[in-house]
Amino acid sequence: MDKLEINWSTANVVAPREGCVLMVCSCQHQRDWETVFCEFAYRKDGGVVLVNCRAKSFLIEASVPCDYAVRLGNITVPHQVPIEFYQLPVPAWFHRREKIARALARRLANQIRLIGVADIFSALAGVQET
Amino acid sequence: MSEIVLPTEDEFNLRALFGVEPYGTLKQQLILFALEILRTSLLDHVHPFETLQACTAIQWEDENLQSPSPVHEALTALERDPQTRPLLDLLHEEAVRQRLRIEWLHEATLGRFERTVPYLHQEDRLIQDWQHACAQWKESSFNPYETAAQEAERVAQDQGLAESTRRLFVLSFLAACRKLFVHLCGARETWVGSWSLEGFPLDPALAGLLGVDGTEDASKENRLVLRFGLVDHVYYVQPPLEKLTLFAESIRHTDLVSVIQRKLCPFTTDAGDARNADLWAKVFYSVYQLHRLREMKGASPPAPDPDFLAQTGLTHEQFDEYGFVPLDPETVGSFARLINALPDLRAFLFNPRTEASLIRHRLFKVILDPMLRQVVHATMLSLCRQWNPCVKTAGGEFKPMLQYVQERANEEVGMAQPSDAAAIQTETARRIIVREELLRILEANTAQWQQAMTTDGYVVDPARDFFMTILDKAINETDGIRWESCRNSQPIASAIIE
Repeated sequence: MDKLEINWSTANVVAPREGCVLMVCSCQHQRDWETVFCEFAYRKDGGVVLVNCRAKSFLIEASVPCDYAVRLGNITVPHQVPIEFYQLPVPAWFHRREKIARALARRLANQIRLIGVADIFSALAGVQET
Repeated sequence: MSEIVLPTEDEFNLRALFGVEPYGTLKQQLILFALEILRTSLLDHVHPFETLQACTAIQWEDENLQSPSPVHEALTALERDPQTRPLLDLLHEEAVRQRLRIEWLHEATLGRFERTVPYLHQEDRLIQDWQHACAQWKESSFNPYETAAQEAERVAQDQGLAESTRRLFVLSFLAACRKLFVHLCGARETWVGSWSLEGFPLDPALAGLLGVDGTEDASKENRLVLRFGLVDHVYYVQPPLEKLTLFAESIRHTDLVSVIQRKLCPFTTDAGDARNADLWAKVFYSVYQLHRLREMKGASPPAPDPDFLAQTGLTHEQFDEYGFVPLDPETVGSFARLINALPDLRAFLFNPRTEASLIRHRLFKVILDPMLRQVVHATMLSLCRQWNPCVKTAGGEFKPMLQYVQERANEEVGMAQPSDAAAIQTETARRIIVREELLRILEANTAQWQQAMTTDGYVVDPARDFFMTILDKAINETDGIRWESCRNSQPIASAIIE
């Protein structure tokens, strides 16, 4: 994952290289962060337009988590809002719909039961097995 | 006996695509798959990349690696291709195999939660604000917050939950009730950044109660549509009695409340699953919230692990190119210890079949997945260039479709100049805009085709007004190419067709 340094005085467009997407982190009110992912961004009318945005969400089905994309369309960020751009390969969830995430989670449930994902999450959460 | 001289239809000449590119032969073999993906996408009104992801994910997760599928066949071809040898040699190194195990475990667990939309963000504060607003409406016959709180405690009591689980359940139940109240009683939410609309199916009785049965908007018929995102502030107004009654009635439909509850908080499990509910509540408080706090403090994403770079001799660029996930050394160490501490997990990850699968999955991630998107895009573009009907613009004039979409791209991001330092980026952006505009046109055209199909059960299209005509012909032609390849490799003698 690379951080991109953007100079809007010389560049009109920010696009990732082939096979990548942009991760855009915004700092609102200096206490909240939001991360969206988009295919490219360009400057327009005093703001920055993030194109084909997606937010990442997840669900838990049959005790298996699976992430998926929430489509947000184009988002215009005013110039005065500080944002940072990162470039990363297209994540597996980027084109995944919620319905497919649910089906994938159910499909993995048997495999996960064999290797004990509950044990993994218990260990991560520091739960003592009794 | 002569070889077969059957004429081969080759109108679209898709075999000319990808001729001399890296992996050109494999890309040509994927064209038929790409055409079928396009067809399915247009008929289902889904983006082709989403259809592709759905198809490949299901094929990939097939436990039987020997099941014939385009994905597995393409991966086998990749493994045999000399161009893939350097990557394969790298993936077989022990340090890299361990890294693949750790990244698989991370992706299956913490990675699913990272950088997600935190719908329960600040919900404690929002619920307090709601409680305060309701307390001020002294003329109301009942207090909606108190009604919701009593219902939350009643449902939690019925499930016999442990304390931390009960706390999370009540929080998410009240958050769901608050969403319903905002929607039904006319409050206004403002947002930090973006939001999305989510629909929840309703049974006919509840749809009638909420007035969304028989609505003209098909996307909202028998569905409750709510906004989700990071809520900044809510402006409450005192609702009339009938709205309050509607709210009280709706929260008694626990199925509706629980499905909204799980959208807000995936860690809330189905009723009756107490053991899992307890586990996921602990994961929420011990793991998820800590990660969220770290992200909210503005921690930058981690850089490539220097120890791993030193062990493998990879550069930063190669680290990204080969699809490795940046993980901080503490996470890498924790997961390595976890693998050793859990016998079932260790046995699974060190199984030769799993190791082979992890290597193939890396080939899929780095080479095949981007290749499939490229093939789908190029195939669609090639057919669009050859079809290229006139489309009516917003201004009422008619233009060739490709000219129209190129002009749309020019309007948004301008023309790339040879001396422009950002020429490559501009060209990438134009390519995406052209793709999305073409898809929009193709979807509208396919909707008309489907309408014609429902009228007559078939479509006769000599003028090729419909893209589906082109697509079906290209599929037949490409399938014929596949047959021709088989035929040429095994000459059979028989007839000469005049």
